[in-house]
Amino acid sequence: MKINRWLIVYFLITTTTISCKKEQLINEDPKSFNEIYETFWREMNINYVYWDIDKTNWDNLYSTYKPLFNKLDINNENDIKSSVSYFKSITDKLIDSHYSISFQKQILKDSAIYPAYTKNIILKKIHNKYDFSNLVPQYLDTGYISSAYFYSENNIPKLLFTRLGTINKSILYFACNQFALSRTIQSKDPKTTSLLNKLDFYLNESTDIKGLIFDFRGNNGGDIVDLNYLIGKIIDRPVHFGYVRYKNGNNRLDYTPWINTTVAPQSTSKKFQYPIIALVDNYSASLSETFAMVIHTLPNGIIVGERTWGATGPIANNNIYNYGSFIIRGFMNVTMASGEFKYLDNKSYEEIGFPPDISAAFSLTSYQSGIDSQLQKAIDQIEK
Amino acid sequence: MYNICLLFNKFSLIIFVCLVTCGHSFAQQELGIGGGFNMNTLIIRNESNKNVRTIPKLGYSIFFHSRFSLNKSFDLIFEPGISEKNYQRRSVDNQYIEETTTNKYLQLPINLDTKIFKSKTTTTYLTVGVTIGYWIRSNTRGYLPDIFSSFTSFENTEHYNLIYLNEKYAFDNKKDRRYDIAINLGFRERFHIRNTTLSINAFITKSIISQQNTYMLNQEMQSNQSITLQIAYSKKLKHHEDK
Repeated sequence: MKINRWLIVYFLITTTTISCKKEQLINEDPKSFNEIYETFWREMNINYVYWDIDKTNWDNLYSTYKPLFNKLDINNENDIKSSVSYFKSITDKLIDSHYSISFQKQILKDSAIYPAYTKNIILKKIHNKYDFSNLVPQYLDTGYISSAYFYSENNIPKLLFTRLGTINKSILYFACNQFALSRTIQSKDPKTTSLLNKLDFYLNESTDIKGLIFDFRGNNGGDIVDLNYLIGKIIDRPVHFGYVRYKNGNNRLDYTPWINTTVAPQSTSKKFQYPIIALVDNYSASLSETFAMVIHTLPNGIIVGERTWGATGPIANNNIYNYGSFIIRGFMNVTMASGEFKYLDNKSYEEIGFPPDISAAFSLTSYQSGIDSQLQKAIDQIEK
Repeated sequence: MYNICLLFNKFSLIIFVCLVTCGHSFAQQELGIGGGFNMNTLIIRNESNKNVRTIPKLGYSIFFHSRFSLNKSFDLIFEPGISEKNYQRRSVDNQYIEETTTNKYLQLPINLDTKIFKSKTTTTYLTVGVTIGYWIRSNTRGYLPDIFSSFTSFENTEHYNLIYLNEKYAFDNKKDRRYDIAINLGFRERFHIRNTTLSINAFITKSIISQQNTYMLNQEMQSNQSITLQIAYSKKLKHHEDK
C-alpha cells in the first residue's frame, strides 16, 4: 500500500512539472510579410506603454491589415515599398510622440515613419523650426561663450551647441540645442567643459545674477543624465515633478505601479533664489519638456514661450528594462518611450505638449526683423 | 474596506447555511479550524521577457474545516477561508526591478477525499477538488528604477536611482478578473484522537482561469499555481457510524 502512495506522488510531481515547461522563441530574420506583421503586432502589444490612454483599436487593425500583409511578397521590391504605407496607416494615430520606425532594407533607407511629426506639422500646423542662435547674441553682454561639440551616437554624427552669457549683467542665459552635456565632461571636451565651469561660477559665486533663462527652444532632448546634472546645480533638495510607470508583462495593460520621478541636487549645489525661466517652443521635445516641467514645479520657475512638442515619456536603455523600443531583425527598428509619464497634476501631456505659464508665440515678422520676441518676453518677465 | 467586510460577511453566511443544510444529509460530520502555508508563483504562458523572472513566494491560509462523510470511501471537505498567494517579479541581474505582489483571496475549496490507506490511528486520502476564490486585495512592494534620476559613474556607466514602493493595488474593471477557479490535487493524512481529528494535507492548486479578463487578441493567461501544506483540527459532531 505504501508503494502505491509513492507512485501517486511521483505521478503528480511529474505531470505538474512537465506542464510548466516553456518554449523559447528563436529570434531569426522573418521569412515573409505575414511573419513581420505578426511579430510587429505582438511586439507592439508588449512594448508600447500608452495602451491605457491610446484610442487606437489595435485588435481591429490586426484583422484589417493581416490579409493585406499576407498578399505581400518579401522578395518583391514594390511590395516592400507598399508595406511602408501600411505601417504608416497602422501607426498614424498612436499618441507616443517618440514613436518612429526606420527600415533596415537599403531600398527603404529614406522611408522613416514619424507620426508625431505628421500630426504636429500637418494637423496642428505649427510654425517651421527656426534657429535663434543668430538673434540671441545681440541681447547678450560682451564675453558670452559658445561651444560646438561633435560626437557620434549609433553611427549618426551629432552636434551639441551650447551658449552661456549674461543679459544686462544680471540675468544668466544658458542655451543648448540638445542634451549631451555630461558626455562632454566624460570626453573632456575643453571648450564645453570650460563653458560649464563658467556656468558653475555664475551660479555659485557671482552676486550680480538675479535671474536665470534656460533657452530650450528647438531642443529635441537627449541624455537623461543631464537632468540631474543641470537642474541639480540650482536645487538643494530633491524635486518631485511627476510619476512614471513601465510595462511589466506582455499583455497591453500589464503595468508596474506608478513611482515618483525626482531630480536630485548635486553635492555642492545651492538653491537658486531668483526667477528661473524655461524658454520653450513647439519644437522643445522629450527631455527639454521634462526640464520645463521640473522648472514649472519650482516655486520660482516660469515657462515662457509656446506649448511643447508632446513627447514626455522617457527612453531608457533596453538592457535596463526590456520594454519600449524593439527591432525586427532584417527589416525594421521601432523607437518608442520606455515608460509612461504623467506630471505632478496626474495628467499626461503626451501628444498635446506642456503649456507655457506665459505665452509668447513665435512671430515670423519679428524674426525677419532680427528681433527675438520670445527671449525679450523672458527678459521682461525677470526685469519687471 | 467596508465593501470587503460586507462581502466577507455575505460569504460567511452562505457557507454557514450550506454547512448546516448539508450536515443533515451526511452520516458523519466534522467541524474545525485550520491553517497552513503555500508557495505560490504566477504562471505566464509563453512569456518572452528574458530580463524579468517570476520567483515563488510564501503565503498563508486560514480556514474553517468541515468534513462530511459520503460513504466508507469518500468524504466531502469544505474549507472556506482566506488565503494569501504571493509572487515576486525580479530582473534577472537583480539590479533594478523587484516587485513582490501580495494577493489576498476569499476562497472556498471543495475537495473529495478518497480513502487509499487506513490503519488504527491514521487514514490516508487522495484529495481532488476545486477552489472557488474571490480576489479581495492586492499589494505591491519592492523597487523600480526612476529613469529620470540617472547618473554616470566614473566607469562611464549609466545608473538609475531606485524608488522603493509599497502600494495597494487599485483593481481595474477592464483588466482584472477577480473571481478565480482552481483545481486541487494532493494527499491528506488524518490522525484520529478520540472524537477529534488532526489532518495534515499537502496539495497542488492550479488556477484554470486567468487573473485577467479577456480584453485583447492573443492575450497571455496569467494564473496562480501553488503548493500548499495545511493542518486542520476538527471535532466530530455526529456519530451515526459509531452507534
